[in-house]
Amino acid sequence: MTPADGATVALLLAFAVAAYAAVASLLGARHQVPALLVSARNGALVIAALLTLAALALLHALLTHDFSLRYVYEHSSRAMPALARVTSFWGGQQGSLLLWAWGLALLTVLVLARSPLGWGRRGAAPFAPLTAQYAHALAVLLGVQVFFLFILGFVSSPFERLPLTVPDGRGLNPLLMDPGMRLHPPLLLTGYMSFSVPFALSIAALAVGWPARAWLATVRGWMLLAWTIQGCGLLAGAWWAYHVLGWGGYWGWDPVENVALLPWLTATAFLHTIMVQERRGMLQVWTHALAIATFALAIFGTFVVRSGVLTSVHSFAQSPIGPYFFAFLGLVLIGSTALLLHRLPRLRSEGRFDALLSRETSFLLNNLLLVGIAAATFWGTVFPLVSEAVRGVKVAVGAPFYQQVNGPLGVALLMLMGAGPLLAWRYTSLQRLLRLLAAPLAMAVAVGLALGLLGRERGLALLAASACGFVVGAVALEYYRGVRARQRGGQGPLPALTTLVARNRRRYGGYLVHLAMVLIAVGVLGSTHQVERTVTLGPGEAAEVGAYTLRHLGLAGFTVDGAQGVLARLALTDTSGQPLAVLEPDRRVYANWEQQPISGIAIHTTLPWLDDVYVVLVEVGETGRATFHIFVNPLVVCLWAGAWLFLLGTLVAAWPETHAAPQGVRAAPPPREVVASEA
Amino acid sequence: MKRRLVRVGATYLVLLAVGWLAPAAGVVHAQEPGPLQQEVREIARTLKCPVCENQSVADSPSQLAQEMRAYIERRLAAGESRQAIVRDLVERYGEGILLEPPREGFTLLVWWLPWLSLALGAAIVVLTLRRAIVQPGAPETPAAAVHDATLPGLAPEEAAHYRARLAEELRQGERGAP
Repeated sequence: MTPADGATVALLLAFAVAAYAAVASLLGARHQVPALLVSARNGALVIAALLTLAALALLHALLTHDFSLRYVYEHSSRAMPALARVTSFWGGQQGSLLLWAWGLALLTVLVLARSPLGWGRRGAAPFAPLTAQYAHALAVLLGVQVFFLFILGFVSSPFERLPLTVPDGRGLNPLLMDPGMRLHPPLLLTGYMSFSVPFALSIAALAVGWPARAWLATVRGWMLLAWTIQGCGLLAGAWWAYHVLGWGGYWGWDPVENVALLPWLTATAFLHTIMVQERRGMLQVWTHALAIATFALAIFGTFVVRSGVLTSVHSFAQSPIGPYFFAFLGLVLIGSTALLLHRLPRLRSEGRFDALLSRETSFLLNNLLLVGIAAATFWGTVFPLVSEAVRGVKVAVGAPFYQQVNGPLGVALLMLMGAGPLLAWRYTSLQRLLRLLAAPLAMAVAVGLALGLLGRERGLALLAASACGFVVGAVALEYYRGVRARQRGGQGPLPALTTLVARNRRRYGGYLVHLAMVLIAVGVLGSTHQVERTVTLGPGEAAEVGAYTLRHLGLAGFTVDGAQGVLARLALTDTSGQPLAVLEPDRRVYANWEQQPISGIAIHTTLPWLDDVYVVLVEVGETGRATFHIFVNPLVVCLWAGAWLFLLGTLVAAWPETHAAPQGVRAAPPPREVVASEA
Repeated sequence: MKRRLVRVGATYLVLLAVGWLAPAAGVVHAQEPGPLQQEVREIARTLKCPVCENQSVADSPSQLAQEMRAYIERRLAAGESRQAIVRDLVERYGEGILLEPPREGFTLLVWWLPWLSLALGAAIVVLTLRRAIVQPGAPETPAAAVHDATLPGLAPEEAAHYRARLAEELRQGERGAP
């Protein structure tokens, strides 16, 4: 028996255990049978172990070239280096789904470990049963697991055998062999998968009730984790597109990109509304609805990424996993909506809205905009299918649609990002708001005037640039006010800043994320000023693009990682003739993929204006002549700076706090769960 | 003195930021592509490359996209209008090449539904707020709420004592709030 056969058995066993443990967990909680709860929890451990074995078996098959497996044959080849064969793990549908299920199994164990009676907690017996809430959350997580293991075991297995043995595999699409591909797909798959936990906690809270404060503290951490992973996945995807695809952009409003953005948007809305629920006890129904919608969108995204269903209604029907995913999605939506409606009477608000100008209402507006962007993006993504089904005519919905619909909503969101944090809870007087807004508004006007007078931006883009200035001003003001308040206590400016952030990490980490969004917006705005030229140059000839000159120095051949290629050397100078860099774009052909030559893109970021000079080698002629596609992309580097700041901000905000819970309106001593989940 | 220093510092920072931003965005590029090329690109951006997966004619390196760009350039150079060129291309490759869905017939739905749903969402928000904020007879300030609160199971003098204490604490809370 080879490891692959063992893995097939492991998948089927894991399916059976998951089905059993889901029921055991539910029955154990309903009828208070500790033995069943203990066995359900141990079931989660067994599933994690079995799926780890299955994942290792697939990895082993990929690394040892076991081409008797269809998956290995279709997604790897002998010519591929070992590291690239590891990426083949998630290069196809079956492997991606296995990664999903494996990740969920590990995450389920982590959720149990961090539950109040988890392993290693003080006072917890090693085999103590779960609380009713965690038992229900476990049942939901296992239910999701049952679905994925059903698909993996019976519909679309990575361990399916080929009827005959073949000497070599087809290999992975070379576009997917880039280092960016090692990061971006597993991040997105993990992100999609992690949205299961907030969903499970939400369903558990709806099913058996969960003290609000404890629930919020728990769910916030898990949602923040999933949201961060998904955000990093999206940014890594943009980075990969920019550095590998060679069309000079980073986001194409492609269906696969759009569906990955959707759960991130609703999760962003969730993370903001729970602050309202935490402070004022309001919007509970809406919070649960967002958790459910986020999970449904994550399932939708997982399905779309690997099946290509959005290209046509027909491919939807043909995809073997399509109907199952559709049924599961329906079950999730109908089941959880029914539960939510059933529990409506229990979810009455404790607080209420006191005034129009308050933090609460700004969060409502924030949610309206985020969900509005998500809805528009969803609608634009599925509309080609709707049109084909209704009229039989295929239409395309591309970047112009999203720019015209999401653009204004995004600018409104930016403006709100500046104003919202300055509003106080419950009620802010107009005078007070205007006084606070003076500095940020001055900043917005200054940026707007500067760019407007220079004629660099107009219309919506000008408004967006002003909004960026506004947010920077507002965040700077918030930091300044905080530091000054601490300085009055006799601290120096730097210690004041560090204690300020350390004591209010959620708030000031959140502001860092806001600044990251501004940086990303600046990158997006800058890239609209892209200058582009296609030139054919003989050796020694030069071309001017924007404020830069590129001189073609010559061509050279090379071989790397099973590919043969040719590279061009280009000397980059600015208009004054100052040499800046030597760029080496290349073009290579991989074995088995001769029809699809890959461009190695050369990018140089100039200082101090942060222009990306982006060169693609398009074609190589007979006499050393070569055709280049050259872009000058202003400020795109701000996107990547924004990505790092995003990560830093979320880490500051999400790092578990060690001191007592921050002072809320109701400063009741936190229940046990809060301490446990944040310790 | 210290405050002034801070203010001067802040002003300087703002100026620095503006000074940094303005020239960065205001770089004057020596050689922009000609107006014809610019227009070709503008048109090509709105068309989907028929043989690619979700790439515009402007961005796609495929042979067909190259030919389509050359075709657009030829016809533009001959002085023909943008509409005529796009119409002919749609006739040849089908409505599916329009990345910007036409604003007519069934396809109007894709344009209007997002705004309609947003308007609906806004209406729900406004209604929720109105109902919550302008409740007839509802106490308008926390202080009024203190006065109106019924305190079951308390003797009147006891209730008065707690009311006074609550009002006092609320006043302090307001003063102390940042």
